[in-house]
Amino acid sequence: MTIALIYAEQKRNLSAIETQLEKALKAPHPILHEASLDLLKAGGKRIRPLLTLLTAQYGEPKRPEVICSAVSLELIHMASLVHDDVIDDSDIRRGKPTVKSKWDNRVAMYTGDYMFAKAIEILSTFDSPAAHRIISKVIRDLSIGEINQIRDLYNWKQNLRCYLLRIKRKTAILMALSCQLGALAAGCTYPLSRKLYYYGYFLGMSYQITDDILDFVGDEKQLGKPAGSDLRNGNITLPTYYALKQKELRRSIIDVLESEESSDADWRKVINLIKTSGAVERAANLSRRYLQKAKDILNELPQKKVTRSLQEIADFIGSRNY
Amino acid sequence: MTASEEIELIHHRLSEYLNHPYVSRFLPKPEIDKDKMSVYYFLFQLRTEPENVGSFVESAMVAEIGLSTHESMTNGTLETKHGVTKRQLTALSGDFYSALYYYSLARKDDIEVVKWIAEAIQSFNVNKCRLYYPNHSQNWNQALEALGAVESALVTRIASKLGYTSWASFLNDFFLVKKLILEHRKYSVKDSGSILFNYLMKRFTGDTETFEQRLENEIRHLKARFFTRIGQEENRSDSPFQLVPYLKDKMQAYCQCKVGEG
Repeated sequence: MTIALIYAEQKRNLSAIETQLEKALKAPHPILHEASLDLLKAGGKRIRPLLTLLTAQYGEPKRPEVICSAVSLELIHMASLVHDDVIDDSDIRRGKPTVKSKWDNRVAMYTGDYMFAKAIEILSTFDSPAAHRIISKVIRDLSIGEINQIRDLYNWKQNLRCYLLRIKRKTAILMALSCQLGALAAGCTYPLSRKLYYYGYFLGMSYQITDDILDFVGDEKQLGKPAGSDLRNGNITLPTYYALKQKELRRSIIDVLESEESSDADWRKVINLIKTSGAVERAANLSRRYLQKAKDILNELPQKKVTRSLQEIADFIGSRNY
Repeated sequence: MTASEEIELIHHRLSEYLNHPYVSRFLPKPEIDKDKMSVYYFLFQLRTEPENVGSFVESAMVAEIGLSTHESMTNGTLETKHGVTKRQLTALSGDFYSALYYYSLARKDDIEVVKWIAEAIQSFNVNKCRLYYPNHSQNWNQALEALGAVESALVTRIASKLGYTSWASFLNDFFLVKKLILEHRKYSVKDSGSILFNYLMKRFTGDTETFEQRLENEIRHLKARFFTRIGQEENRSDSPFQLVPYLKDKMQAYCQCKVGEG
């Protein structure tokens, strides 16, 4: 079983999701329609819908609620991307102009809000009070996480727990929810859905740590932005956190973060120091530990074909190159 | 407890609920529209259990506040760190408030109201685009129609869903007049400005004098229409009886204020 095969097996369902997404984004105003459709057409790995489809296989995957959940979660993810581009002042996403650069910040707000409301409307057809409590809490936590990320910018005093909580809210909980909701939508028991939540959560933690590492070690061409952009924007991620623990590096990192006049050369120097300090390896180690936890959860699940697929996804996430 | 005491209590709870210590360092406290709150209160009071009225009102208001927070989003390049943070938090706090309405209603297992609000938010954003980014040569009346739909998107949807479909028209008039009057105040204050009025003036009149005249006529027309429409509805046996005098008084007060300014 390879990741390509997993995608191939889910091709029909993924294509149904694309169709539903396209339908959901048919807004009765050309700008709203075009703006949201641009984002849809730009594609993406659709990892969250894939997780929903796979975890639904522990129950009755043909239930209409399964596709409905996957569509809603992807819409929520897309809405957050449109707003993130305003927050990060990004002009390009997936090689295409962002909504805020093609139109403006206000259109980006309207588009994101429209998509988010559409997602909630679709979810409202889901007849499960317990599921709504879970989903709405995740959505609330996602936005708290984003606010906290802004709060913690340039704060080199933050601790590891603070970083982990931030990436949990930023990335891991939506992956966790994608897994849990797939199971709930397919009629699985709550305890089983909870195990899948943790699988998604550990997977998401590992995924985000790897992303944070790649931001240091990837090149500009791969990343679509200069290496070390997170740090340049004041975002203290795990490699920086570990590097800050080293006495000989600590002062240089703090100086560049605290100075309003740090030059490109200053940033490059510090980014190189972090890259060669062993901090990246320590971060990679933690990422692997999360991945192992995800795999351990799989041992507690019914040993079906889908469990091997989830194992493969974990391996795929672990194989992203540093 | 009287209705106004209860509304005051909900207002207090809402202020606490919306308080985010970090956000409040950069953004002003979210404005709570007491008129909208009162309308929601009187509407829900007639259709739901007394113990649930407060939480419904809070949820609807949180959604309203989410939308109005995003209304203060600016365009253009920012030079200062503080300005950037302010813009970032404008986007994020709006998202946070929008998440809260779903969260609080899900806790009450009331997903039907979630659906109403979600539908209304879509309509709000469509009409925002119709107002500011029209796809055809838009005239003054169409722009005002879109503005009215924006201002009352949530409240008219909820009124309709609660069985007061015919109330949508005068609720629309009321909140449109209120918006025009409040924006006029902002517009009249030097250096503060109104994004909406600057846009409308540039698009439709070009000079202040013609714009002011047009506005004056519009408000007069809407006010007259409001009183006709509410008069037709007030004798309905199932009317939220406290709402009618409340809205009539408020309309008079806003319009007197406008005259007073002149």
